[in-house]
Amino acid sequence: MAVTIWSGLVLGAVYALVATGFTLTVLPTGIFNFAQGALVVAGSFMAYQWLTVSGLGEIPTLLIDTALGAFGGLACEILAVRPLRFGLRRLTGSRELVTTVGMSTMLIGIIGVKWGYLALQVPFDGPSKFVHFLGIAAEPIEIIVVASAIVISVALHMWFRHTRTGQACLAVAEDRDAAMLRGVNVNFMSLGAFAAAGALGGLIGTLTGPITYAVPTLGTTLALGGFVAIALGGEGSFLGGLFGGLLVGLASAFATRYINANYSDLAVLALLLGTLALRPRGLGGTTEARHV
Amino acid sequence: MKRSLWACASVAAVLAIAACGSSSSSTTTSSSSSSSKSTASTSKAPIQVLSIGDTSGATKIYGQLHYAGLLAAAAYLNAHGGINGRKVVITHLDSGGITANSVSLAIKALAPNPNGAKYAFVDAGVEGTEDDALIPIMKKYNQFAITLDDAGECAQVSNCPTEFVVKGNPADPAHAAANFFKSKGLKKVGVLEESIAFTEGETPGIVAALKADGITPSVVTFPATATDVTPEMSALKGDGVQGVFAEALGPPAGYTLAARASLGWSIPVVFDVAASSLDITKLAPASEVKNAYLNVYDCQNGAAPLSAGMKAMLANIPSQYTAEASGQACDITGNGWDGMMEFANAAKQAPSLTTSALVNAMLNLSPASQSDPLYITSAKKCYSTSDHEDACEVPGDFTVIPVGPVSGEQDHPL
Repeated sequence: MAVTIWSGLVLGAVYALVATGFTLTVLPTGIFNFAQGALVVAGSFMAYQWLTVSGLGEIPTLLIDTALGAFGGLACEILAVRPLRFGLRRLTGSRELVTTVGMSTMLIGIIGVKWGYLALQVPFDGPSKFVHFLGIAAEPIEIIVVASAIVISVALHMWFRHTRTGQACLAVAEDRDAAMLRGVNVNFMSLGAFAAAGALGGLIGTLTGPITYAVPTLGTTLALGGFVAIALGGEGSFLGGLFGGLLVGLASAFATRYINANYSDLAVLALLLGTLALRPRGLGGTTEARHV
Repeated sequence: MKRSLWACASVAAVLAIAACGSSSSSTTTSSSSSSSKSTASTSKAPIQVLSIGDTSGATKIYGQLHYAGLLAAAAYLNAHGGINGRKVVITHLDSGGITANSVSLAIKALAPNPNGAKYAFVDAGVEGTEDDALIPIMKKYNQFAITLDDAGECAQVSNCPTEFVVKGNPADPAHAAANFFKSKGLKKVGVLEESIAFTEGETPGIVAALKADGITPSVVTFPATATDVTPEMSALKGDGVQGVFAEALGPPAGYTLAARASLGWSIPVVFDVAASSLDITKLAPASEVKNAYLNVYDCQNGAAPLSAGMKAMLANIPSQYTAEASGQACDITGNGWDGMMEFANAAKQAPSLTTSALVNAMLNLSPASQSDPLYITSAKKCYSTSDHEDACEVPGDFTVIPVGPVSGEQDHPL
């Protein structure tokens, strides 16, 4: 039981981190960047490149991957979002959903060309001895991933609630035009959000690569898992995304272990439908009142 | 002036004839480095072969290496007089790993040329779903074909009247694995099954083989999207298994070894043939591959001397695939090579290259053709009127060896 719980928490932490990346772009821009999963995968491949091929250490790799991830996020915004949002013909609707999916496909294709499609082992240049607690033997990198998910989600929640820039992002999420009228630079917000989400993707890829390996096809799995985590936790909520991700991981692990592997996705879907039926805005979502 | 003009014309004619002679002895399919001392020039029309497979896309490594095996065999044959004095020329159609593409490409190529009118032999697909989708196409156009994987369809001849399968019974490698566990004195073995069509079809074979050896199997599955199989391995540990047969292709092979380590378990793990075709030392550190084994074709055993077939194939792999092939197991290129060699043996025996003549020849391969030392994936190949899968592949064509790095298409135990 303990092993299953820990396995679910680790998987859930990965989904929670991806969900955090989604929320980072959704809050200030209202755009769901489906390429976030691909950015995480790119981070893991870049980690392989720096750690294995170039022989760099863990800290330099983390810093480089975070920076490159930020560029990747900016590329997503400039190529897949900006032309629709700020182009000559401003388009309304959810076309960004389609273009970011295309961006994801392109990123995976570039990864395939550069590194091929076979899984690559991403080393972890840190402690390797198992940590034993509560009947579990956990790898240090697993503990780091779970801790990172919690710390990053809480930190971002606090930042958005208690800083001026964070408040500005929330204002844009609530009413974009009103925020513009109040002097909020929505263009900068958009670029900054995507860059931050991309940086987070690069960081996540470096941390999770030693657990998942660098696998091109993982991008879709992560994106879907993160999406379900957000839907479960409530759109725009970092803490909701964290709880949603952990719940998804646990549901998947328990279903696999105690029912059958084929029920893993079904269990997650059942959890999602059940939660939304009882609380349509998700666990962390709030009902908004508007004066008429 | 006239004399010098005639002299120049004569020299030019001689040079032209020499150039034509050298170009007709080279093939457009092979750029191997094999010796060309027997590049017999022939005026007979070349034998056209069609290859359909994924040399691009997510699974291109398998398609490319299978194609490399086909090219190597063609180069070898062409360097040794061709087939009945005729060169082999291969036309390759890249499906990009998309089954619908392979089907439409096959239809475009064969519809205008049914009954083997253009292509004497079609190498029909590399990936399982692709191979299956091409089976009815080959049947529809009455085309002689050889495929790698048929998910058991060609065991019923009515499905594959003109098509044959390089592989034999999926249970054959399983018996080799079961015998290994038996030799270790194990009484209960866990089967860790990835929840995909390929391994789901494999499990009944290994379960039956274990039971036949008096070993109790315990099956646990994990989803294809899993990034950790510790709960599943924990379940097997709790069930008291003494060894694990892991049907885990790609990253899950690494997850299996990582899970074993995290549970503080040191039981033997044997990876199935599919997992064994990749270099597992690239997925796990040296400390985790101890007491881990591969269920492999005999050709993969780096501790054994190279067979004649392996030597010939390795010498003829086109240069653009050499490095890639060296890092992967011999069965991937070997299956392409064997398909061409089987066709060559049938063609040499058949009175003509019509589909019916080739089918008849395949069903009645001479003893020498059945046991051609140039075969790689099994020592003997034979087919029957009731089963177009290789009935002569036996558990003895497989072995279990310790995990080791792959080079020269063989695993070299650590």
